[in-house]
Order: sequence, then structure tokens, then C-alpha cells
Amino acid sequence: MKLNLFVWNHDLSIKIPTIIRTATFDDFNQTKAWQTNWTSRAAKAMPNKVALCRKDDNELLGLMSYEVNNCGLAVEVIYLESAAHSNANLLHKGLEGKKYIGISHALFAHAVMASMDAGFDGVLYFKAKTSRLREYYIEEFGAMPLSSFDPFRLAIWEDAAATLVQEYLVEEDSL
Amino acid sequence: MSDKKEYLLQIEEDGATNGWVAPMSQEDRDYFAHFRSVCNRYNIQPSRATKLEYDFVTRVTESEFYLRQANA
Repeated sequence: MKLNLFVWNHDLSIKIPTIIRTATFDDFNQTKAWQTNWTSRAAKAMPNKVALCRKDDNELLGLMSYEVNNCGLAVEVIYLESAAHSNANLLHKGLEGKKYIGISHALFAHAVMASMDAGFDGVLYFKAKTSRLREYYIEEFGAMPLSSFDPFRLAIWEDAAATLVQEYLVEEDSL
Repeated sequence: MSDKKEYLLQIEEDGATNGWVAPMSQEDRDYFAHFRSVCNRYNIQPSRATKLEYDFVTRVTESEFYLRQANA
């Protein structure tokens, strides 16, 4: 089985096919207006950087860095960012309006697949950035808290991982 | 449906504005590895665990992990 990733347009009426590939220098050069400049030294040091792009025009939608953790038997989502056009702060700087929904969902699905490929049954762990995102991950992705001392530590275990990728899965022959 | 759409738009905005995930520290990684080892020790599979089992694993992990840190 393979993933046929997609995102939604802003009113959830159109499914937009996407692809995921290894991020390139050209991708990083497009992040100068993003929250994080991916050409920075810290970003350069991050492993396994992938880019989510529209299938039709190759427009960059999001970037993610992840790492396979053999001690934890899981994939760690290190950093994930969606493109500036989805960033309300940057709208005030004259960039286009919000265009897509589901960028993080598609990138998380790719991380689940990386975990499956590594033999970890889709298990992921990561740290939510805000309380609202923490609730979103728990409700929508089936993430589970790992600690009461640090409630932002979350994991997506096997069953939730399988559910997360379900809507993207297709037979390899149909791609 | 429109409530759901509004919610997703707000989440999308939150994630795009603040970032979706925070970088993990080495302590976070060590904690996760210890969580996994506690699950193995008690033969508990987190995705199939009952709430009681999951809370048990979480509490044992926290107790052991932070005690070990305090004693280090």
C-alpha cells in the first residue's frame, strides 16, 4: 500500500492532490517569509527534511523534519511548518489568503508511513506547540499524552496511526 | 459541517502562526524510551491498553524517570 496524499482548499470543497519528496535547496529558499527560515544553520542541521507540494504545479505547502528513533522504536516528528500563505500573521504583510486545510495531517501521515517502513508499526512521538494544537492532535489524530508533568508530550500509537493514514491509502497499482 | 470547517481553519491558523510541533529535548527522548521500556516490562501495548493500564504505565514511567534524574 502507498499513500495518495492530499489537502483541502479553504472551504473543504476541493481535494487537492499532493506529493511528498525530499526537500531541496529551492524549497528552503522559499521560506524566507515563513516563521522559520529553513536556510538557517539550525534548520540545516535537522535530519530527513521532506516537502509537501501540490501535484499539479509543485507549489510548496509544508516542510517537515523527522527522525527514526531506534531506542524509542518510533519516529520523532522534529519540526513541521506549513507555508506562509496559511499563516494569518503574514496575511497582514500582503501575502495571499489562507488556501489549504490538512497540510499537517498529510505530513503526519507521511511520518506514520516512515515509522511503518522502519518496522515501528506507525508509532510517532512529538511535542505539541500550543494547548489548542494538543487538543487537536488528541481529538483528530488519536494522540495520547505521555506524561502529566509535561502534557505537551504526545504519542500516536499503532491503532491511531493506522486510522490516521487510512484515508490516504491506495493500492500501489492504482498510483 | 461549518463548525468543523471553522474549527479546522482556526487550527490551521494556529499551527501556521505558532508552528505545529515544538522541538524535543534529549530529556523528552529519554522519557519516551523509558515509557516504551515500562510498557515492555508489564507487557502492555499502549494502543490496546485500558485507561487504567495506560495511567499505570504513565505513573510508573514518571516515578522512575524523575527519581533516577534526582539521584543522578
